[in-house]
Amino acid sequence: MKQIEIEIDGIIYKTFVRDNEEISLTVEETHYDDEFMDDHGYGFNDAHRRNQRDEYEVFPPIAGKVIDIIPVGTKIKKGDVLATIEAMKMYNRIFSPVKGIVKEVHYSVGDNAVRSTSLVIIEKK
Amino acid sequence: MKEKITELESRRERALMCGGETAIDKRHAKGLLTARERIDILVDAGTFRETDMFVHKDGDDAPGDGVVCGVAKIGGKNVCVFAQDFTVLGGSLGLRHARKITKIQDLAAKMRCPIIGINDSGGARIQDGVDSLCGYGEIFYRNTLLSGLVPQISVVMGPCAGGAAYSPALTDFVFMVDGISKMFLTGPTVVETVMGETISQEDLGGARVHAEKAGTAHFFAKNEKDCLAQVRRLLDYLPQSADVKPETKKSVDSPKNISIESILPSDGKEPYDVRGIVKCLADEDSFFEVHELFAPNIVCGFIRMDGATVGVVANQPNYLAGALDADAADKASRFIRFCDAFNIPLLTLMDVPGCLPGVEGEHSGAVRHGAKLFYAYAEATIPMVTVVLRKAYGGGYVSLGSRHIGADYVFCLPTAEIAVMGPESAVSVLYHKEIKAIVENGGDVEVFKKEKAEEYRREYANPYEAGAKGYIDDVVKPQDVRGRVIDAFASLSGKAVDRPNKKHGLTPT
Repeated sequence: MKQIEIEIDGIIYKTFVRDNEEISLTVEETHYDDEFMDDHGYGFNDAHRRNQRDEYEVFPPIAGKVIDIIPVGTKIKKGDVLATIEAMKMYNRIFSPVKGIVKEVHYSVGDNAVRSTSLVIIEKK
Repeated sequence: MKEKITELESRRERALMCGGETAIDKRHAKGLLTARERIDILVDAGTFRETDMFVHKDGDDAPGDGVVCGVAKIGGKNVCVFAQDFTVLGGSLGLRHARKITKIQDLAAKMRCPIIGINDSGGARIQDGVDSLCGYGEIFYRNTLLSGLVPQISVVMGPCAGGAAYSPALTDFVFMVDGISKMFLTGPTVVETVMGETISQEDLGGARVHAEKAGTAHFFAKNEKDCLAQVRRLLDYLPQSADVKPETKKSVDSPKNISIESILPSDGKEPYDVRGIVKCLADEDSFFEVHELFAPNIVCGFIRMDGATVGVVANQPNYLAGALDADAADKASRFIRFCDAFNIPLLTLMDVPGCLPGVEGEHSGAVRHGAKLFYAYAEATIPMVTVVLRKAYGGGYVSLGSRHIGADYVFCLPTAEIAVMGPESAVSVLYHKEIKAIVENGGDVEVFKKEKAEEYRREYANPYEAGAKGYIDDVVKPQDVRGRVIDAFASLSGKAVDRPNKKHGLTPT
C-alpha cells in the first residue's frame, strides 16, 4: 500500500493505492492517466526522446560506469529502474519514463556509458 | 439622470461582452477560458474592481482595447491584475492597451502589492505601428523598476511571441499551461524559413519545453484552473512587498510518518529523493516546489517552519548525483535572490559531490554560471541556515551556503563529509607516486587505494575537522534538526546587516 496525495484546486486529498495498481483520474472531463504522478517519488524522466513510433530512447543523463542494466524483453512500469551508473561518487539510477517493454539495450555491465549513446529503447505499451 | 444611467449600463454591458458572443463561444469550444473568467477564478469571489473599462481604440469597436485590468484580493490580500483578452483584436498590443497595463503596474507600485499578468496575445498591433513598440518598452521598463519591490507574476495562457515574451521573463515567476501556452521570439514559420528547421509550436515553445529545458517557466500546469490555483498557492507564501515580511500562519507539526533517518541511505553512494528530507523539516503539507522540472539536480521551493515562510535550496542526489551545473546554478541563484529581495529566510540542505565535469559544460560557461551561486549567497542579507546532510566537497561546499559565504548557522548531521574532495579522488592525487610504484611492481593497487581512502575518510571526511576550526556550529542528530533550524531562524528574526552604499553590484551572467 502507498499513500498518495491528489491536489485539486488547492485542496489536498489523500488516498491509498495497492502496489502495482494502475491509477486513472478524471476531473471535470479532463482525463489523467498515471502521468499525473510524474516526477513525484519516481525520480526523473527527462532523459527520454520520442520518435515517430511510440518508442522511447533513454539516454544517460550523466556519463559513468554501468554497474547494472535491465535485460532485453523485460516488461517495465513507469518509474522502474532501467540502469545504475556510477558517477560523481554516486549510484545514479535511471528510471523508465513510461510503461512498456525493453526493446534494445546498448550497454553491458562494466561499460562506460556516454551521453550520446542511449541506454535502452523502450516500446511503450 | 435615468437616461445617463441607462447609457452607462449599456456601455458597461458592451465592455463585459468582450469580443462578442461568437468569439466567446469559439473560445469555449476550444476549451479555453476568457480573460474575465480567468480573473474570476484567480481572485477571491466578488473582489475584482475593474479599471479602464471604457478604454478603446479610436473609432473602433474594441472593448477594453483587448486587456482587462483591475484590483482584487487573493487570500484576503490586495493584488493588481491584468488579463489580455484574445477575443478583442486577438489580444494584440496597441498603445492604449499597453497604457492600461502600465497604469496598473504603477498602481501596484503605489499599493505595494503583487501584480499578476495573464498573457494571451497575438503580439504587436501592426496597425498601431511604432506605438505598439513604445507600449512594450514602457511595460518592460516598469517590469524592471518593480523588480524586487513587489512580487510580479506572469501567467502565459496563450501565445506570447516576439518581444512580448520578454515581459514574463523580466518578472519573478512564470506559469505555463500544457498545450495552451506558447512562448518564443520567432515562431516555427520563421525558424523554418531562416534555419530550415521544422518544428511544431508546442515543441518550440510549449509549456513543457519552457518548464524542462529552457527554464523560462517556473510552474507547469495541466490546465488553466490548475494553473490559477497554483498562482493562489504561491501568493500565500509571499509578502505583499519588499517592505514587509511574509505573513506567519498557524504552526503545524512536521509529518509523523517519515524521518530523516529512514530516508538518508547509510551507504554514501546510494541516492535518495531529497524532497523527502525537505518534507521532514517542513510543517506538514507546506512544501511548494519552484522550477520542479528544470535542473532537477537542485531543488528549490517554499515551505513553512513553525508557520513562517522559508525558502529551501537542496541538492538532489537522485539526479546527476546532485552535482552542480550551469542550469542548477542559474535556478538556485535566482531563487535565493528572490528570497533576499522579499525577506524570506533561506534554508540550504547540502549534499553536493562537486561540479559536473565535462567539455560541454566548461565551454558553455560553467564558471560564470556557477559564480552566480556564490554571488547570490554572499549578497543576501536574509537569515540563512545551512544543514550539511552528507557530502560537502570543494567549491560546491563553499558556494552552497557555507559559513564562509554568509550563512548565519551551519549544522551538520553526523553523516556529513566536509573536505576539499572525495576520498577516492584525494587518494589518487595524494598517493599518485605510491600508486605508480605499486603498479610498476605488479602489486594490488585497489587494496592500497581502498585502505588509504578509508584512512582519509576517517581523518578528513567528517564534520569534526571543520568543527575543530569553528567553520560549523554544531553536529546535530537527525531527529533534532527541525527544532534546531526553527530556533536558529527565531534567533535571527531581527537580523540586520550593514553594507556599503553603492549603485548596484554586477551579477555574473
